[in-house]
Amino acid sequence: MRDIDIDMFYDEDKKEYYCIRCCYHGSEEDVLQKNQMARFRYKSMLKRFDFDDDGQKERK
Amino acid sequence: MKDTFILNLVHRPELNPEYAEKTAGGGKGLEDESIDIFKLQQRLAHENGLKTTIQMTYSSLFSQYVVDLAKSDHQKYGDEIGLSLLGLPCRQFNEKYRTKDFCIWMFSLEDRKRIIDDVFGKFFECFGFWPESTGSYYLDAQSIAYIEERYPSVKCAVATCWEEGPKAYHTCNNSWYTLMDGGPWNPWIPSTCNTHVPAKGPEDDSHIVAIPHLSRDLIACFDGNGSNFGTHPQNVLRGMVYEGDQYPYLFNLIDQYRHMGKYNGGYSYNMMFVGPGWLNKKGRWEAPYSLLEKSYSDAMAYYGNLKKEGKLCDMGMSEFASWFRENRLYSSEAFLWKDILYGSEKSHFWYSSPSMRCCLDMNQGGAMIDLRPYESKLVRECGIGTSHVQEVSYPFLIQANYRAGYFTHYAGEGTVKSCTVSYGGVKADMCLCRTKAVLRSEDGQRVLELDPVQFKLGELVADIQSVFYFREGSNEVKTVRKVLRTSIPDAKVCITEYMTACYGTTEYPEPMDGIKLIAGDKTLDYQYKCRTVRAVGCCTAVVPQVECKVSMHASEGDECFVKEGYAFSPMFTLGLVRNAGQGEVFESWLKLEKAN
Repeated sequence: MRDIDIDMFYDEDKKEYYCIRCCYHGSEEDVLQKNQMARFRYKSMLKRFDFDDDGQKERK
Repeated sequence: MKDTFILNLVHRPELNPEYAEKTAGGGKGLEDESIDIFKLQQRLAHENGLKTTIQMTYSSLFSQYVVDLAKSDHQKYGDEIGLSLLGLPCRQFNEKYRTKDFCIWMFSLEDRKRIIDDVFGKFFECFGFWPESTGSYYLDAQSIAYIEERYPSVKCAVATCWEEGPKAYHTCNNSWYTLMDGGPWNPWIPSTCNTHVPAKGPEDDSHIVAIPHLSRDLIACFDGNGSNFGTHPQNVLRGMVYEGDQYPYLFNLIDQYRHMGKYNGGYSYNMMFVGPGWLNKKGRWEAPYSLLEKSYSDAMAYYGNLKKEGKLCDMGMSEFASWFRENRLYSSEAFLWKDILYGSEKSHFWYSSPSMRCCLDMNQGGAMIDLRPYESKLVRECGIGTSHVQEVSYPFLIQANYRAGYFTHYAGEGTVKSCTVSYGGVKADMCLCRTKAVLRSEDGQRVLELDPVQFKLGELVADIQSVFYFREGSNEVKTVRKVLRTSIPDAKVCITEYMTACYGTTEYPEPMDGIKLIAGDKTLDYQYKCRTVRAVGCCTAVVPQVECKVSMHASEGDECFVKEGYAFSPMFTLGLVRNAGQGEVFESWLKLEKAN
């Protein structure tokens, strides 16, 4: 496993990922699910905008 | 100037990317892969009709293959061959300098000069000419001066990463030491005193045009971690700003930068500089290699299509430097940047000039949430042997995210410039008013006009509009508060224009001893005693630690005050007071001066 930019390590015995900076521990499935939380703020993530003199408009 | 969107596309053959060497174990495998990545980036650019600046790294200069590649691409495609001060580590460097350090600005000045001579000398040996462009994540003023003295061919340099300071440090487990907040976000001519400070004129012109390492999102990189949100496709992926293989945010970012030409005489700019480590064949934890490559390919295709449509002009760095000197020179820069990521409709106004850099937040009624006093022309030597070994941020007087801003957890105040409006014992702060703005140019000044906001103060309703004026070449910001309407005829609201400030580069308090607060003809020496002095006229703070004198004034007869903070709120506040009724206006000025 690459160890660059990784904040968690894998415990083979317990088959879980764990964070070395906090108490989080969980399965790969849980980690992937929680990764989605990084996105919760990005309400415009999949919108495409046009910019003109009238401002910013979402493309339909 | 006709709408001119200029792209600088920069590639570097790194051979030993500093954060990939450990993973692949070093050695030939990594070098070959790194060259392949460089070739991929070059191919994708050329396939889309784009020329690049090839910033050779020291390590790549020892590879005849890469040197020949660069010469060939220069001949075939017109790519510029420049020289980066990134990518120093290689066998030859390690044998001579015996260090794991790799950031040029962190070496001692003596070593910096030796390294610059080694790198430039090797370049000349390989190519038979001196480079016209160079750069690093940060290029300090002393290094620039040395390069200009010894290698005056250099016209352009990558000189800082925008707002990649404590925020980015936190996001990288407090282990990525690019501490460089406080600079311009778009190209500028650095002053000789400090790279972050734009030059005022020929007298302090460093003789290079500086470009930022990336073009960054001016809200997301201020509120967020400082490095996910920019014209770097793999950074966007690292920020998880994608779903499947879709990342419209990247193209929105490019398009908003193009749109900023509206506020800067038709000129707009983008820079893309993706190091080869980001296209590692092993992929990254957040994205497989296939997506890393696709995102780069899509970005090149987007720029390429813009060029085909006549909407983009690709330039090498030195070519851009000549253009910039001809067309922009010491001009200020202003962006009214809108949120394109969070769906908030928030906008930030950013202004950069030789006197200051500041940000106004429309979500807080146009409050000033970042202020860097460039007027101080602060000399801050960096590197080993100085008191700023790694940290090269330009200090703030206001930084509402690092130093509390309008709302504090328990007591005291945070740094912000705003106003309060009161009537009949009821008071409210303009920071509580979300609004929007338009930006226009008028008689040599930028005018930011906000939509009116409504204050409900007990039985009174008052509509107030704020307008901010930034005159080209001025060290002042004019604020106008217009009382458009009061629900009670002849009622007057009390407007207190205030600025709560301190100084620093991080979230942590700095010693305030030595600061002088002046109201009228009365002076307070800062002693954390929570004192207030009222007078008539102008209020001033002299902050010797950052060689800055900041003052606020309105008309001569207005009440002013200065407030000293205390240990649990180590700030100072300057304020002006005026009662104004319907149809009346309160004009005030914030002024920055150098204080020795």
